[in-house]
Amino acid sequence: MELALEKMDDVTVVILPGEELDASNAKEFKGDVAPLLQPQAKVVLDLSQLRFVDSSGLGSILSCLRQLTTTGGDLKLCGMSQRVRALFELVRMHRIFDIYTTRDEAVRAFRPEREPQP
Amino acid sequence: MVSNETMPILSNARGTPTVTAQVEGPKRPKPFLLRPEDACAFVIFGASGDLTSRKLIPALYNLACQELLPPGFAVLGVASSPMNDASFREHMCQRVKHSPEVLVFRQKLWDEFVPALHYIMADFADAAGYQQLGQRLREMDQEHGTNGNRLFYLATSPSFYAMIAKNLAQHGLVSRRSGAAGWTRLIVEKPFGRDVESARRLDEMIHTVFDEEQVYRIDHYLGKETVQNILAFRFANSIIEPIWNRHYIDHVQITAAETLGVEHRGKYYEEAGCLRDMFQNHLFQLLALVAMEPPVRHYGQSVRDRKADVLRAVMPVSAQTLAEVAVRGQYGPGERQGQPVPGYRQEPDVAPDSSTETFAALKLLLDNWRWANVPFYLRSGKRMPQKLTLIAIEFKRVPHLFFAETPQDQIEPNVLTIRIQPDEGIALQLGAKLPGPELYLRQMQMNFSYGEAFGEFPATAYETLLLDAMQGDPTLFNRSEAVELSWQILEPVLEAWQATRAGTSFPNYAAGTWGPARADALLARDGRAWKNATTLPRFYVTEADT
Repeated sequence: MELALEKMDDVTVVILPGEELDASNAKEFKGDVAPLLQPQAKVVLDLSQLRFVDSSGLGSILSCLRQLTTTGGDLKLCGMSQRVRALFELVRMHRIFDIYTTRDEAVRAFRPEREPQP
Repeated sequence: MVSNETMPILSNARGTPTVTAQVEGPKRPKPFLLRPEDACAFVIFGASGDLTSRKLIPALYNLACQELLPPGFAVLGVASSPMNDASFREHMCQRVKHSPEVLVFRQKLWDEFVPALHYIMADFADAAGYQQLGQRLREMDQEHGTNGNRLFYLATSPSFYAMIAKNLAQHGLVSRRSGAAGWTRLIVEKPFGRDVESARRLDEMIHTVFDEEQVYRIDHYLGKETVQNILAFRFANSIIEPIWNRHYIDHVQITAAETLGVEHRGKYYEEAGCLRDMFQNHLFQLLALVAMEPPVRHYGQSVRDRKADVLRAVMPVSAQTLAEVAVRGQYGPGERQGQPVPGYRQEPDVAPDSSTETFAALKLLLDNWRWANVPFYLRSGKRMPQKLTLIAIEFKRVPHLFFAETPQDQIEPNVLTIRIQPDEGIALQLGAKLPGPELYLRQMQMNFSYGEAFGEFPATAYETLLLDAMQGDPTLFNRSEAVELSWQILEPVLEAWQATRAGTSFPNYAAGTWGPARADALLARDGRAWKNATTLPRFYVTEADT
C-alpha cells in the first residue's frame, strides 16, 4: 500500500490510497503506517478516497489512534464520504475519533489557539 | 456495493437470512448496539476494589464513548475505603487512562463521563450506610433523572452477598415489580456458593428479596465474543449442525490453561481450588454451549433452558468411577520462560502441606440422544506451559482409506479447534495431498482469525453484559437452576477429594508442564490424547502472557 504523505508544520498528513480498507489490506495498512506512529506524533488521516471500510479496517485505524494517544500523540480523520461516515456511526466509533470535513480543518485542530469544534 | 459483513442481518418469512438495511438512501441502518432506554443508577458495592477500576469503570467509559449509556445514567460506588466523589473520580481516571480495556482514553470524553461518577463511604454491615445510600439515590433521581431504577452490582467478597441483599430490602431500596417507582436488578459475581447446599441457601436468601427475574449472575466468559460465537458458528452455518452429534464426533476436549500461578490469591484459592474456580462456571458454560440443542430464539429463557438441559444430562460421577474419570493435581516448583518459579505450597498464603488442587481433569458423558457415548474431556490448570482456552472437536476417522502410500494410522482425524483465547478464531485440520507425483497425505489447517477478519478491537465482555443487564436481557447470565446443576455435577468429586485429602501425592506436576501424568492416562485409556502445544496448529506459539 503506497501511502502518500504530506508534512504541514509538525503534522503528518497521510492520504489513504484506494477505495477500500478491509480484511484484504488492513494488515498491510497497519504495517505501512507504523513508522509514522512515533511518540507525540500528530497525524491526520485523509480518507477522501475511501468508499468502503469494514470492521477490520476500522480496527486498524483504531489501533493507530490507540498507539498515538498512549504516547502523547493524536490522530484526526478528515475527508470522509457520507457512506464511510455512516459506517463509523454504525459501529459507534464516530465519537472516539476527531473527524473533520477538510484536511485543513484537521491540521488546524492540532493548534490549540485556533481549535475548531469537530 | 457494501459488504454484507457490516450489515444487520434478519430472516425473511421463508427463514432465509436477508440484508435489511442499506447504508445510503433514506433509510439508515440501525447501529449494532442499541442504547438502553431507561435511565438508571448503577450502584457498585465494593467500588474501591480491583474489579471496579480494572473492568467495570473502563467498560462503562467505553459504553459512554459509544453513546451506549442511557441518558440519565449515574454510578454510585459504595465501599468502606475513605473516598469522596472527587477522589473516587480521580482514582478511576488514573486507572482508565492506563487501562488496556478502554477503546482509547480521550480527556474530552472522560470529562463528559465523569460527572456520572459518585461515591459514598459505607460499611456493608452498618444500617447507617444503607440510610445514606437511600438518601444519595433519591438525590441522584433528582440530579440525573435516574427515575428510581437501580442496578446493584455486588463486586464484593461472596460472604457479603446475603447481608447486602437483606439490608437493601430492610431499607426499602428494592422494588420487586417494575413500575412508576422504577425497577431494581441485582448483578452477582461468581462464585455463587461453594457447593449445592451453600448455593441453594444463598439463592433462598436472595429470593426473599429479589425475584429470580431480577437476579443477574454474571460470568464474564459468557460476554466474550468468541464464546458467543460458538452459537453463531453452530447455528448460523447449515453445514455444521448436521455433523454435530455422536455420528460424526469422536470426542470433545475443553481446556482452560493458565501460565500464572496463584499469585496474590492464595487465601481465596486455598478455599476454592481448581474445580470450584474454573469448572463450576467457565468450563461448564463452554460445555453447555458446545452441546446444547438449538434454542427457539436468542433471548431470555430459551437459550438458558437449552443450556440447563445439557447440565441436566451430565451422567453423575460415582465414588466407584471417580478414579477413572477425574484427575487432580498441584504444581510443584518448575520453570516459566526459563526462570525458576515456586511450587503452589511455596506461594504466599498457602499452607506448606496444602492439598488444594491447582489442576483438574474430568471425563463427562451426556445422557441424551445427540451425545450418547461421546466423551467430553475437560481440564484446567495453573502454571501450565501456555495460556490457552480452547475447545477441540475431534471427528471420527474415515471408515476406509485407499491411499496405499500413507498408512491409515498416519492420517489424523479432522479436528475443529475453537480458540477462545488467545488468537481468537477457529481452525479445521484436514488431510491433504502433498505436492508431487506420489499420493502422500499430510495434515493442513484452514484457519479463521478474529483479529484478521474483524480487526483487533479491545475485549468487550463486560460492556456486553452490563448493557444487557441495563436492558433487562438475561440471556447471557446464569440462572439459579444452572448454578445448582453445576454444583450437583461437581459435588461427588468435591466430596470424594475432600475425604481423601490426606492421600494426595502433591505436588504431582512441575510448574511449566501440562499437568500430572494421570491426566494423560485419562485419555490414553480411551486411545486418545490431549491437544497440547505439540499437537495444536502453528497458531499456538508459546507466548509471554501476563
